[in-house]
This record gives sequence, structure tokens and C-alpha cells, in this order.
Amino acid sequence: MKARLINESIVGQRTLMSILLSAALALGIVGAGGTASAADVAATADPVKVAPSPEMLAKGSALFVKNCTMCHDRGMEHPGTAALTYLYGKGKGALEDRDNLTPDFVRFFVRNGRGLMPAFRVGELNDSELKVLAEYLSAGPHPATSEKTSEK
Amino acid sequence: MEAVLPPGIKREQFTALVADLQKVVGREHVFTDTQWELPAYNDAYLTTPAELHQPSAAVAPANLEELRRVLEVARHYNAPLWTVSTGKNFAYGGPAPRKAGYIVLDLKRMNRILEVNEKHGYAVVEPGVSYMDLYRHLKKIGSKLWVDCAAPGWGGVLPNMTEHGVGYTPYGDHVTMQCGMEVMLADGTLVQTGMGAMPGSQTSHLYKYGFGPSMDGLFTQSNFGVVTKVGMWLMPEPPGYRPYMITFEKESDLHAITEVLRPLKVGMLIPAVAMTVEMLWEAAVQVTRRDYYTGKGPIPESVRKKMRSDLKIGAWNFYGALYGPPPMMDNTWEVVRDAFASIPGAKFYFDEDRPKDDVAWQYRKKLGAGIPNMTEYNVMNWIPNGAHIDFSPISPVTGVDATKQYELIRDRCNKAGFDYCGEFAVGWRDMHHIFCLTFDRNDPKEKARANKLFGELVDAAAAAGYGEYRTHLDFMDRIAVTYNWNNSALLRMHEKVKDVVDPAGILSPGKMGIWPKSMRKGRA
Repeated sequence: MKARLINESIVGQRTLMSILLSAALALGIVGAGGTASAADVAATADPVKVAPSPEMLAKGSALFVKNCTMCHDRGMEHPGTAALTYLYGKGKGALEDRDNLTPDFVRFFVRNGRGLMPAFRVGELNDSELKVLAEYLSAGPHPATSEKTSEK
Repeated sequence: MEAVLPPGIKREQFTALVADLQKVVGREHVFTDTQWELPAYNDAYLTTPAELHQPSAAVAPANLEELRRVLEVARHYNAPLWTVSTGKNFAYGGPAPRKAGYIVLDLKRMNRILEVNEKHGYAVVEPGVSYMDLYRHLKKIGSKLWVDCAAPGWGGVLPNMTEHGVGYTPYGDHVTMQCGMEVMLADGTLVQTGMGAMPGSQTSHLYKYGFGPSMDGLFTQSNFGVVTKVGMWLMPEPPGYRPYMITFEKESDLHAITEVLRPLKVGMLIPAVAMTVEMLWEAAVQVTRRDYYTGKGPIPESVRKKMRSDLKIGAWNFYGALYGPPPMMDNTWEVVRDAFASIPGAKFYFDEDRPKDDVAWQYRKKLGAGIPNMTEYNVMNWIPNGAHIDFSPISPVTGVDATKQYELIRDRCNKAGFDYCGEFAVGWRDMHHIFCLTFDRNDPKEKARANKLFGELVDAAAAAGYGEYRTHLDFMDRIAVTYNWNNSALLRMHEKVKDVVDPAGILSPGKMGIWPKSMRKGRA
């Protein structure tokens, strides 16, 4: 069941809501009979917050910069941020501003992609790195990474 | 996702093959999990069913010795490998293999920057190094060398060159700027091309041609070997950089723009790859279609007019840049400006003239100075669930050809119900026309329409004498046969070379229409 749902989201046969719902089902966020909307999924994705160590935060932040900021840094010039802004509304597009991400949710989208975002391969971002990255994002919101590592 | 097997290999053999690969690279670098590992080898922007390109496994060697042993395993089982480097060749197939069942040879872990030579202006990189990796490395070591990157900055320095990609600085023709190459052949032999063939050579990355035939080109857009290292010339930061934009009011101005541009390019007054961008591309990176139009089919002219006015863009938008000491830039600008000013309605902009939040201008400005970014992927945000494939024919730099190509694509595109989104990139003597066909990846009917349109464009372009410079996996065979002069003499020569350098046919079968003997259908 789990594999089938994920497969369908990859080949893009489903609407966004279905994808999110599939993800939520796969992750056990909502029950199998759930009729949650995309907004509900985001809202019900109640993260179990673990106090992150400064070390983990530093590692996670570095991984975020290395792998994600090109598309997900703050600002509409970043296509991931723009896509999520169109989806959730102004000011809600940057991943580091989110307070409702969970490690499983992050893991699902990194390994399966969504919309214009292709999935990330284990060869480029391995499972232990993904774990740290997912914990980092789940511990958000975070101060602006772009200010710490300006490319300008 | 169902597990699949490599063509001609039985389940038990596959299990043994995977075990052998694991012995070479370690269990954690052989990927067979259909839920969490292999989906990332799909092409996110396919117009055909994902099953057609579903790999059986992927293997990621970390170094030359592991790669040599992976090839040994593949030869032993006659298993087809599909080589990817950074795996970001999206719009052309991404990390997905040509056919289902192939094992992806993923070189992303071979990601060392082996040398940066400040004095002579070059870097030597392995396949997994992205433009952003190289850019950040150069910043970190305080280098004054520029990267020349593809528009999606997460792309790879080596693989973009081997795919004949272009960038946006004066070093934008990547194949021209490549010097020195290391290739592993299918039998495991490691070859250094050019000057690198001489032990102790001091000029491997300074002189391209070496002694005897120049072999480097054989390993670009090909499946004759695995490129493991290249030298790339890097441009020293110039004393000045002044990007400019010129907007043109009328759709029909494309002819005049191209005619004005040709002598400026040939005379090298415009040193970087020159871009003439249609208005929709400019719009799509910063607004969405539904912001302006919710009807079906192509956007009507009245709406396009409003978009041009809102975004301060033209029907066509030309991007160029001045490089050099200020007096040189000033003098060159007079020539460039006067030439384009001959076109009525031309408006000229420098950085200070564009709005600070002008997303289109800002990313073009970065590209002209080799600063990697991903902004161009915003074109896919034009529609919800947007994905794209690129149709990219080559033509002479003339107004007649530009207009003919534009109309050829625009009319078929509109008829198929898509918006035309395209740009013309002028290199030395050629013009790449890039048509970005954006479709809804969640709509099977729209994907099928996009696929059909693409096929029609290949045929129509070929009939008019225009060939593509690069293409998506699904169209490699179809385009390869358009290069059929003298009974397909070139393709048959490719096949002869393939049979000699890779007799078992393990390397990327079908890449650019080149199939090994065992998989060649209907060819002598």
C-alpha cells in the first residue's frame, strides 16, 4: 500500500492534495479513512519537538545550505520558495520559516520529489545526512541562512 | 514502483550481480530499494510513463579503482550501465536511463576538485562536482577565477560540458573551454587525452590538441567511455562587468535583432553568449499564468500586452554584458547601443535602471558573471505542477532563420494548446533556439500532448533543415535518424566505434541513438 501510494505520487498521477494525503497516510499522519485537506495535513503534522543540540543545528544548517538553499532560500527568486508561496501564501514559502515540518515529512519529499522538485538520490545526500537535515528543518523556524552564508 | 531486471538477465543472476557490486563499493552504495532509493532515479519531467525508464539498480563508486571493478562486474554479466554524473540533466532525462532495467552508474560520489590553477586560469574536476560546488570552492580559497555555469546552477561542470551545454559568460561554450580529459574505457583502461598522454606533462590543461587525432570529442554526448576528469578553463574576473538589457516592442522585431546581433557577435563586441528572450520566459520566472489568465489555450495578445507593461519587458528582451576596463566598456557600449538603436522602440537598461526586485534581470545579471543560481526553474511555476522538456534546434544567425524557427514552433505549440516560451542563444556562428515546453506533470493527457508536439517539432525542424543539439531520452533515436546524410554514414561510423571500444555494449546503450550490436534493431 505504502509503496503504491508513493509510486503514484512519483509518476505524477495525482493532484497535489492527493500527494500530500498519500504522504500523510504513508507516514501515519492521518488515518487511512482520513479526508484531510492539504492545509489539514500541514496543520495535523504535529511535530514531536526534540531540543536540538547546537552541534546538530550547525550540521543541519550546513547541509541545508549545501543541498537546498539554491531553491529554498528566502526570496521569490528561489523556485522552491516561489512554488510553496504560490501554494501556501505569501511569507509561507521558505522552509526555514516553517514550524510544522516533521522528519518523516521532509524525508518523504526529499526522496520522492514533488511538483518541479526532483527527488534527491542517496548518492548525493545519504540517509544519515538526510536525517540531520530533516531534524534541522523540523526544529524550525530558523534565522535566515542566507544572511549567514551570503553568496552575493 | 515494481522492481525490474536488466534486459536479458534472470533474477538469480541479478542477485549475484548486486552482491558483486556490493563487494566493490559497499552495501550502502548499491541501490535497489524501490520505495526509498530508486524513485530518485526517475526523470521528474517525463512525458512518457516512468516504467519505460525504471532502473533495476544504481551503483555509486567513489573512485577510479571502484569504477574499474564496477565495469568488470558489468562485463561479466553483460549488464547495461547508464552513466550519470551529477544527475541533473533535467528536461533531457535527468538521472533516468534510456531503457527500463539498466543499472545507473552514478558518479556523484566522485566529486573532488583536483586542482585550481590561478596563474593559468583553469580547474580540474571529477564528474560529481556541481557549478555551485566549484563556485563555493573558488570563493573559499579566495580565487579570482569565474565559473561559467548553466542556468540551473546545480548542474555539473563535467557532464554539462560533455552534453555540449552552454553558459552565459565569454567562456560560455563549454566544449571549447575544456582542456584535458581522463576517460575510463569499458575494458577498464584509463586514458588521458591530449598533452596528458605524456608522462610528466606540464600542459595537460593548457593545450587542447596533443599529438595525433584529438579524441576528446568522441567522449561527449556518447557512450564510448566514462569520462572521469576534465580540465576546464576559467575566466579571470575582469576589471569591470556591466550587464545590459534591451527591450523590443514588436514580435516581428526578432528579425532585426538577429541581423543587428550577428556582426556584433562575429566581431566579438558581444563576448558572452547573447540571449534574445521571448516575453513569456521573462514573465514565467516571476509571475504565474493564473495571475493574468485563467482561460484555456495560449494567452491572448491583450493580456500579453498588460504583462509587458506590468513587468517592464518587451516582446523580445536582449541580454548582453560589457566586460573589461571601464574605458573599453564605454567605447564598446557606444557601438552596441547605436547598432540596436536602429530598431524603433528599443529601450536600454543597465542594473540601476531595473527594479531591485526584478527577478528576471537579477538572475540574468548573475549568470553573466557566472554566479550559479536556480531562478530559471521558476519557469515551471508558470502553471501548477509544471514540468518541462526542451526542444533545441540549431540555426544560422539570420533574421530569416530566427523568424522561421520561431513561427515553426510557436504555431504548432499554440495549436497544441501550449504557451510558447523560448529564447535564442547566439554562440560563435550558431544560434541555439531553446523552446521550453512546460506542461502539467499531473495531467496524463497534457503529457501525451506535449510528447506528441515534441515529435512533430522534430520532424518539422528536420524538414526545414534544422537539427537539434541535444535531446531528451525519449527522442534520441528519433533525432539521431534525422542526421542521415549518405545512408546514415555518421551513425554507422558511431556504431563501428561503439563495437570496437565497448564490444559487450555495457556503456549507456542507446545514448544519442548509438546502440551496441546486441541491441541494434534494423541496422546493419
